[in-house]
Amino acid sequence: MIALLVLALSVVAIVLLVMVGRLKRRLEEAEERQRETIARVYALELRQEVRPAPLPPPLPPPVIAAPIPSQVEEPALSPAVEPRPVLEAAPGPTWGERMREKMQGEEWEAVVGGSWLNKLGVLVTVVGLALFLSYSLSHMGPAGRVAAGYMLGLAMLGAGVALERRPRYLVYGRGLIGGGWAAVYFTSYAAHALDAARVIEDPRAGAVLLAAVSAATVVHALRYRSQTVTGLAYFVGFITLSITPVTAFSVAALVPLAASLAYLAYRFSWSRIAIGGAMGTYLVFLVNAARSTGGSLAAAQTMLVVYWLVFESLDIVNAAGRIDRRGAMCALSPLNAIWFLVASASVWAHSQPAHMYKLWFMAMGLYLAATAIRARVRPPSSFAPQTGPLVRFWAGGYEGALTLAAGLAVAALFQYTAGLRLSMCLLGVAELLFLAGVFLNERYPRDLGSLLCVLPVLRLVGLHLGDSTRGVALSRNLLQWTPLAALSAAVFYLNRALRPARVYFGYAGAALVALILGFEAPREYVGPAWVLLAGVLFEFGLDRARRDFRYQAYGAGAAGLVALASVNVLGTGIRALRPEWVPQLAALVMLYGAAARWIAFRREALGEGERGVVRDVLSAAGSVMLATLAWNVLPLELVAVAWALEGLLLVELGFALRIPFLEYQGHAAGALAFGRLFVANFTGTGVTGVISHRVLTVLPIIVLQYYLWKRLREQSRTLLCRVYPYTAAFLAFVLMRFELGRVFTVTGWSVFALALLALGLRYRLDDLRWQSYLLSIAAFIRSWNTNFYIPESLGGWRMRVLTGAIVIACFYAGEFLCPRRAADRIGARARVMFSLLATLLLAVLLYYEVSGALLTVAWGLEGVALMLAGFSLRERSMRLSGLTLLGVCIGKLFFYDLRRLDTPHRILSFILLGLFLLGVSWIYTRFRDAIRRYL
Amino acid sequence: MVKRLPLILVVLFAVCCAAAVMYGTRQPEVSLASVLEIWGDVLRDADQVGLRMTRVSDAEEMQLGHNLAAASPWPPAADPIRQAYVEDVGRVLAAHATRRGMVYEFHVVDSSAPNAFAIAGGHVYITAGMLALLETEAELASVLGHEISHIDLRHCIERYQYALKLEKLHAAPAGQMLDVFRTLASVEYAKYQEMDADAQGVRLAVESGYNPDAAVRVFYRLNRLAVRRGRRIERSPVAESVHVTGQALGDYFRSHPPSADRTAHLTEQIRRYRVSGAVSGALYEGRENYQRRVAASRQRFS
Repeated sequence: MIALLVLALSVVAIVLLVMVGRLKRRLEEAEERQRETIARVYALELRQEVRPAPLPPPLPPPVIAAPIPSQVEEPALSPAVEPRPVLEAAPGPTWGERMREKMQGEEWEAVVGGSWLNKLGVLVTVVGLALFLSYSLSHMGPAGRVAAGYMLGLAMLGAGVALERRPRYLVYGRGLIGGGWAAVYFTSYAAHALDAARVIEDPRAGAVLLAAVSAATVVHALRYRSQTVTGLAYFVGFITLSITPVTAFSVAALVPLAASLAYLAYRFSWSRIAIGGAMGTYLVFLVNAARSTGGSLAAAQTMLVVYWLVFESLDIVNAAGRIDRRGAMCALSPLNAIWFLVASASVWAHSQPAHMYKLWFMAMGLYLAATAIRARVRPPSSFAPQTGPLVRFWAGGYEGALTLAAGLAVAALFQYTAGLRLSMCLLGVAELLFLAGVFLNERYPRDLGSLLCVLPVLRLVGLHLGDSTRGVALSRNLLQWTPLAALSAAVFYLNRALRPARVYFGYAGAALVALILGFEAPREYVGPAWVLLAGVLFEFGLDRARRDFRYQAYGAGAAGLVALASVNVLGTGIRALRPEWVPQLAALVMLYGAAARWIAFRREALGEGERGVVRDVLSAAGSVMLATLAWNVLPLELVAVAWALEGLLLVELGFALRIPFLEYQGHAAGALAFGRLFVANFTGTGVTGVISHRVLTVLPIIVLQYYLWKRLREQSRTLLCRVYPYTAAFLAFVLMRFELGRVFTVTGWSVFALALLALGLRYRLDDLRWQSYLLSIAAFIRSWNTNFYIPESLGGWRMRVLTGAIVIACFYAGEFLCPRRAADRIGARARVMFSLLATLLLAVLLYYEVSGALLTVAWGLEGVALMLAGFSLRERSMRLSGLTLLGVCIGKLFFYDLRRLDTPHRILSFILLGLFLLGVSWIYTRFRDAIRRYL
Repeated sequence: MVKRLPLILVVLFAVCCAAAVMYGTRQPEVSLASVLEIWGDVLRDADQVGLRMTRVSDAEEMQLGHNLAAASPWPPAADPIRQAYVEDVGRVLAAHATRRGMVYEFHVVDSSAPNAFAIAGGHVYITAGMLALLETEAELASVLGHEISHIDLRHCIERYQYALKLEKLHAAPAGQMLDVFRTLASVEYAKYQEMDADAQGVRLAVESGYNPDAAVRVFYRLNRLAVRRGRRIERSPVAESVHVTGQALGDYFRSHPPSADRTAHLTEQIRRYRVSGAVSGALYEGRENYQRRVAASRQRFS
């Protein structure tokens, strides 16, 4: 109660003094300017009489902080408080300069002896007085001690006043004055507080006495305006209070001491004394608190609050008055905060450590109040527009108090609660700050609130994500942190809406929503969910022309694609045998739908580059998903068909929409289908009726590839259109191999080659002709190397004879299909090639079928047949083949038959071959003229 | 619409074929067997050129076979009656072989594993385990006929042809190395040699008067001893491709095709023989002959 009364009196006194001081200062400044103006006018008048003098530079007008047009986020100046001129005093000398000035012309010994010893002596004297007053002596009662104390103090005062008039004893005298006031103050304190010196029983009387002595000290100090003297006085006062027994009164006695010191610091801008006084106040309190063995927590905290109020008020008043705050004065508020909090924390730590959060909450309230006051007396509009928050803080703005209040709130919450509740509360605090900044149109609270928003997010990601505990929320079984994440996302989006420039809120909100979807959705639905989120974000961003939402959509979409690839395509982390098809289908629909949407965009809605890239990515992802879905759903044999159809449709779509990337996707799908056939279709043994599943699955793809060939030719795709006919032919080539079996493959190839040749010649398709040549060569090689060694038979006929005959017949048919003259070099020789292939193959067949004894005869017959056919059909290559064969026979006769064959066969070979040769020769002779015309 | 008609027809055709597959008897298989088979074809065709150029005479082959048999680690079974019986049956079959200049020798090996094999030069081996598995003389004839066919069709000598030829050119190490590479490369198409030997064996058996269906029974009995393969269900197209590739590498080194494939091929060969009329009338089975170890050429039982 006493303390409060003293506090109230002190505050009132300080306010009155502040107002008086301000008026007085303004008056002095006005007088000073008037004097200067008069002096200049006088000087001008004097100069004008002598010579024309240059005009002096005009006086700089007072700096008035004018309102500057606001930016996007910055608010207009608040009209509540008008900007006041900031008058900056001239910089004073530093401590070093003062020391050098004082010591100028004197040795250091003189300084130590004359000044420092003076002050030390005063200190020791007053401390001795304090000890004397607190020590009980049987020969002197309390009144005597008090009287002795006053006598000593007044004596020191009187001596000091007397000596200071002499310049030699100026420093000495002022030291005595400081010590004298300290002695008087302590004696007044001891008159009630100390048992050995108690002459005043009523604490109120004691408080009044102390207040009176403090006031007298202030009044006297005003006369000297010496920070050192005053500081010494207060310092001694603090020391004496710290060494005396601890009581409530001793604690309360600090209040007038502090209050008066604060006033003086304000009045004379004595920053060092302010800092020292604050430090002394709290230190004495701490020392007393350490020595006391009991005491009320509430009382101790109340005193601390009072101390804090004193110095905080001093700082606020300085800020309001635009007092020069360079140097130590800037540190008053933060130091006051530190000491106050440390002292309070030590008190609470001893009394109620578990309830310290109450201290933080209380301190938060104090600093919120300080924030409001500072914002009122030193508004942001009173600073230059580009002034940063740090500069404003040092100049007494509200930023420091607000930051401290926010920090205290966080600290209180950390101690008060835990877990999800803590995160929720942190989010609430951050959002309150942000909204306060929005509604008050102040940037700093918004920035501070934005920064604090990181805390709940960090806790969510770092602590809560790993918790898989579920609970019921909104009638759903959700993870326990999901409501927090959802609330955070909602808050962030709200902030984004309130302040469009704060795009990072949007990103954070999107990330949180994606996080919720990622953990709540079943694993296989995460990818589609993220893709859906991307779609929603994109549509919103496009509708509202918000580029950051589009970028969020791209990020969510990319994450969705990665999830789709990992889980739905590769099956990572799935316990089931196969991924589900429903999420694959959903993703497919969304991806293709999004791609279609992108294709339909007007050019001016989005940049061409962005449009093209996203469209291609979406369509490619959709195509991959479609292929995967087909693999997942369809029977093994039909996957290749599905992929081929997908490729066809994509190519057609690419043609129709003129999007080359769609065509490429289609070709890629076709290539996959081509490869798939070799894995799952060629060796299957399924059948429908009499048709094997091999045919039913490979044949449609062959047809499809020929169709694509046709379409590519129409679209003038010169490179790709050369590929498809060959892949189709190759598939047919392989299909025959597996469908007709090892033996009849060559017959299929030969007939197919003949068909290709016919079509190629008919429609002038060079690719088909060349394929027929290649296929024929393959049939020849296979016949000789494989079919001629197969021991199988059919109906008593060896398979090599049956298949060989068909192949040879096809070769001869091909020979006669080829034109005699062709435009290209290969075509010109095709006829001869077919003839040679047929002739050679027939010769080899005869070699395997006819025994060695009659081989020469068989070859001779073949030669003759070729000659006859060559003449009748006017085919020179056949005639030449026949002649060559007859020549081989002659060689065989002489080099082999003559030695190896038995006599009957030898004779037969010679005779028959001789007859053949004669017959051929007769033909050449008989029809020489006609032959000459042929040749 | 007219412009799109070809597209519609192609799509419709594909869909109809797919629907037909769904209504048929499906026996899907995912493997690289088709690729391996095509690779085997290519290797076979390429190999034939070299084999034709390095062909050895029957006399050279028999000399090589004699050397191999002398160095063989397979212990002969100490049962002269069974040995004589196998020789009797084998000689009847060998009389119908294509290569007239080859002299065949038959050996019974003291081993419980059911197996039979042939080496170059006309040497045919059959284990006691295989003899225990068989029940009739016709079945013995089918097994011996199969092994004789390997020699008759030059499957055995082809493994040594490059080495023999290059040895003559004083480049024996090169030839041996070439034979090793060739053996590795020819593993894939070796199964076709087995099928050729099956077909030729059926012909030998029929021309010797034995029932060719005995070979099918032998295969069924061997089937029961074979390991079945199950089809795995893969989780993704990528996993399926990886599994198929690994399986293909394992299958590559299986020189004998699964018994089910050979059974189907053999059945088809026998069917063709019946259709052609080459197989008619009653063909000898010889159950009692087998039990008594007396060849049908010496005595037939009703």
